[in-house]
Amino acid sequence: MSVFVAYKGRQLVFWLALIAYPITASGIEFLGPDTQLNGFVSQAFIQSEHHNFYGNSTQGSFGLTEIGANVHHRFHPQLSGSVQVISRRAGEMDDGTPRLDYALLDYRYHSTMNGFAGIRLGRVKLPVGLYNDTRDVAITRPGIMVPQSVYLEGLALRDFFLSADGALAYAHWFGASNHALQIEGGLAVPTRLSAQTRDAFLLDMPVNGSLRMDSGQAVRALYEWGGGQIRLGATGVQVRNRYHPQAGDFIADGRIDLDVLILSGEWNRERFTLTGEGVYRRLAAQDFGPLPNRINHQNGYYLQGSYRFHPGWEAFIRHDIHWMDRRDRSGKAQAQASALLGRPAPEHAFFQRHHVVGLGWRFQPQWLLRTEWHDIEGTALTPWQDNPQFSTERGKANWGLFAVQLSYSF
Amino acid sequence: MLPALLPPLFWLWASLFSSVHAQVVIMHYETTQWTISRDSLRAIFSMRLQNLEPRIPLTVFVLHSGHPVHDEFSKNVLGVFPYQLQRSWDRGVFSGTGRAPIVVRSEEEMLQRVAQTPGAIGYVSSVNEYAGIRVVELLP
Repeated sequence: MSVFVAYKGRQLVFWLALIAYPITASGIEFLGPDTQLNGFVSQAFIQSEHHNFYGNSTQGSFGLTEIGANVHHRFHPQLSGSVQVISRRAGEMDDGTPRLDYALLDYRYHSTMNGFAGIRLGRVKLPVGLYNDTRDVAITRPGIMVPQSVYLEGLALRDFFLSADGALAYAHWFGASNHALQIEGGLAVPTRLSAQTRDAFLLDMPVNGSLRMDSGQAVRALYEWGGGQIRLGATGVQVRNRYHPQAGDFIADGRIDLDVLILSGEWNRERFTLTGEGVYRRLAAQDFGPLPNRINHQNGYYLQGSYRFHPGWEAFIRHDIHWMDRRDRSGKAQAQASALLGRPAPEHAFFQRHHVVGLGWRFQPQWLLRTEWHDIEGTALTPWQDNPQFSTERGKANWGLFAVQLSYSF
Repeated sequence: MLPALLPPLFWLWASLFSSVHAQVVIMHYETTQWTISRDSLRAIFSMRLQNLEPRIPLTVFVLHSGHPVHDEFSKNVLGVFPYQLQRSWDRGVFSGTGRAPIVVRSEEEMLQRVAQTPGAIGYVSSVNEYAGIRVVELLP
């Protein structure tokens, strides 16, 4: 009983605190104007046919839940710090264990009316494309799901793209009338990658060793015209990994190199937004003992048109496509090669195309309800973890999913 | 019938027009700024520029999105659509690189908060005399 009262009491204090503190545009100011608290909660329901995405979605899944909170504190006009913790439950890929999304100190050593420059140290978010740095925050995404071709979900490259321990330098200029330029460059310290990332890179081979990232860099330049009416960006990413075998492993200490180039464009008008991004990815797995070297040139792009037809309402359509090998877009040659290697896979395992229509309704400033329908061809990016049958049977090429998501943010 | 409709029509016409005019940028009186460019204002209201003076951090006040004065200020003075500002704040807040502005409920509250907060900046549709406020002129 007393536990219950204490719990209720704490809950009451929390809600009173929410009401009592002045609400910022999206957050709570507490302990004075220098500290801000923000957060978000979102829950999706997904129903798919033939294949799973975010849990057992062919049966209907509530497997995508995102919860996060952050604190930002200004120590000094030039020095601030921020920390964000996120719990993400995403089918069999993410179990909801809270993780430190970022924890950084931001020192702005130069600031004038025409621009500024500074450095962030700690665990930082990497600016990759237009959406990577807030990809787990539903309200900042262009739909319930990020465009899969550029922001891969099913291939576990998330480790590095989520956040990196290291440093990020940034510079912004906005001196010339209507022209603005931002340049950001991040450098990660070497680290051991998660077992999921290792398995994704090594195609789920039965190995016990660890995959270490020896170096990782990301640089993005973003040009804005007219206060962001037109935004053009280019991102380059380079990651170098080495495999450290354990006793009993049948493969040698090979290396995996990843190079990514992303070009981004956005055109914003009052009622509509047109967004497009293209990606080129070079993935090279070399020197893995008896295994042949494998160099993979992936390609993909998406185009999205959004229309704000009424205050608070937005509809969009998206064309989103990914090819595992840009020289074999139909997947034919790769399917034949996979049969020769003894791991036969159909052509549709080597590409994936989404046609998406979506609708969003912000019925309160802090609440967003979304729904979208994906018509999908191919399974190249469909998560293996959610589809264990993929190891023997790749299933149908044409499938689809329907999703609804409710998000709250403050 | 027509004469009865004229006053409300005139009121509608007048309110549509008056809302387009006279947006004033205001700062706390201790600021050393007398003028400011549109590019700098954009950087301030999109929460990228954090300070104008070395020792005083900026505190940005806005009216809520959907408020006619906010929407007009955003479009006519900053030349940015309100949804773009909101996106810029969300990106900053959830990537650890920025903060959100403080939302006030009325122009009266805007004047009060800006007058009370060193380093504050905001906007109103018009202002004559208000203790603690300096009107900052927009550079063409």
